[in-house]
Amino acid sequence: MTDFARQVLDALPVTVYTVDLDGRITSANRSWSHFASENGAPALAPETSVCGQSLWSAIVDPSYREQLREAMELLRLGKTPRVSWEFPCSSPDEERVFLMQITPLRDGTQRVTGFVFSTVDITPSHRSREALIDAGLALSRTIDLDRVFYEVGHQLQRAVSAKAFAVLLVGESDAGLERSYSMGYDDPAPVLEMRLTPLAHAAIEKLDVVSHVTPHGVEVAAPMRGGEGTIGAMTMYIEGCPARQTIEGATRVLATLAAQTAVAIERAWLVRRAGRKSRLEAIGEVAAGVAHELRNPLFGISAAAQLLRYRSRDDPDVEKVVGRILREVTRLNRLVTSLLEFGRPRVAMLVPGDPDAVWDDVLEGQTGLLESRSLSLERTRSPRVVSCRIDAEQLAQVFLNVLINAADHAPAGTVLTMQSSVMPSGAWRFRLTNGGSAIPPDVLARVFEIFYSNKPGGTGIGLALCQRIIEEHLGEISLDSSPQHGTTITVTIPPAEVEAHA
Amino acid sequence: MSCNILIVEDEVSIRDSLAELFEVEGTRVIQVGTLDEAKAALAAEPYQLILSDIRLGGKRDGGLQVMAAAGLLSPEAVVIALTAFPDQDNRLASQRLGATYFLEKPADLETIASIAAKHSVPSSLFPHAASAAEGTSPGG
Repeated sequence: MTDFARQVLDALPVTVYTVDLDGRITSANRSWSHFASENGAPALAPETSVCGQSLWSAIVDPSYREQLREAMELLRLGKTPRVSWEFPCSSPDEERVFLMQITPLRDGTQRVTGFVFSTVDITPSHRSREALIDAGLALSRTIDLDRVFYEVGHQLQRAVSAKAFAVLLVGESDAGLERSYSMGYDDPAPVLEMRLTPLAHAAIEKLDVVSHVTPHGVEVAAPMRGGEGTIGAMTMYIEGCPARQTIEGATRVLATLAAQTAVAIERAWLVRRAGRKSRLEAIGEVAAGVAHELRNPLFGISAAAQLLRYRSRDDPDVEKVVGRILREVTRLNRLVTSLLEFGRPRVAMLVPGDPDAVWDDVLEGQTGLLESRSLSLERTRSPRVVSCRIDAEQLAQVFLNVLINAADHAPAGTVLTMQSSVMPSGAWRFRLTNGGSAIPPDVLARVFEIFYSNKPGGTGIGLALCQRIIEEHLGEISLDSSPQHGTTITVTIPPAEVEAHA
Repeated sequence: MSCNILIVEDEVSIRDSLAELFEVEGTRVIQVGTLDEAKAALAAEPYQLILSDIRLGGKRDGGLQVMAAAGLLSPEAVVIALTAFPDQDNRLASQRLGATYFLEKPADLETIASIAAKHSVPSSLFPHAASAAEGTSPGG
């Protein structure tokens, strides 16, 4: 061996030794000497004392002997170019994992004359991988997001010694990032926001991991990309002045965890939505049952009252009283009808269509409604025609409901503002604003609940039904209210080409 | 000419009011509250007008069975289906079984009476329907 080659061999951070066909050690590099002296075998550390020793004499475990013998045989026959396996090697302080590789040594005629054993400590990457698997398992098991975040943070601490960890999610109002979870950061909340938000934004914008080195440590942020887009970013903080490789390894782990967590969050959101849906369905069943039971007695009352009316056609007193009875019957029946609609909604028949065209029809029929309240309408249409998968009849029901609500709560003589637009995703978004007094927050939080109403004579079904229909369209409906900006209802419907998620 | 009317309804107060609507000179109103009674009544004689609830005594399709029997035993009858539970399946099934009219409860008695009058069946609202529409065959 040339001096140069020997120097390279000794400089390698890999333990290397060679054996002949019988398993007698023929050479060992300097890393081997380090390894031997650090692992309780200083007698074997010098190359001179290890050479000539038999490999087999050091192996007590018969199955390991067998494994090794087989590997050497395969290599000798040229059936495989390399054999490798991982093995744990515990020292009193910690458990470490090594990767052993064996390759054949050949002479000038390509005959196998011995083997090279090289061993490398893969504990850090092994830990990262384990952490990923553990975190993945935890994510798949749990849908409680706080639990997910805790688990991810815990795994990060373990895998890459992150001191702190946070999850920032894009808010619903697309206004900014909200910190959903953090652990290990010592700063008070406002300081922490300032510390993390710019980095998280940078990661989301770049769609890549970004890091920021400070005199005290490294801040890293990774974007959280799920199946439906970027939902936020994950940050971690590693204290001290870690080596470049450490940072690189840690960022890889963070990036993977961020992606996995994003998927878990989306799944949790889906489950939550499905949960709400099944709750709505249960309420619907009850509502439909009650409605049905009410219709028979209602018919009993109205039939008797109608008969009375015909019998006493000439008696104005009877007519007056019967009129009242029948008006109340009509009112009750309206409630019953909307209950039935809510409880047994017609299955939406979604076909490509333009939601703005649905608005055209609704508005055409409701000019009287606006005129009767001296309301004017300012309408801005989306700059281009959008194709969404819609059920025009059901959507018209939603729009009418939304319009009546807005008109009912608008002061006479004011302007209703309607605006539809196309979002970057291709979704159609519609906003209707009135200048009515602001809805108190406690009311606002409950407006979509069934049977909740703060409108005199309201049934509390209208908006719940709207939400149900919009959810069938895979869209969203929300209500915002403030004294400065009035009350705005927002409806978003995804574009036609987006397929339904199971 | 005398008119036979069958009212199939398990809610007594509704049945009484409907019967009263048709209790005029020239009509005979038979009231029943169960599917078995309805079948027996249909087997006994033909009817010109049959009013039937769809859900009878907790049976979802009780009224549909009445209509099926009516189609065989009173093929000339005008059938009005009444239901508190208007769903499309029931509507279509009633139509297939010969119910020309499908009314939701609570229904307007005037609507019922005018349907009857159109088919020459008198009521307290239109007592002269039979003579006014003389010559029109029932159910035609």
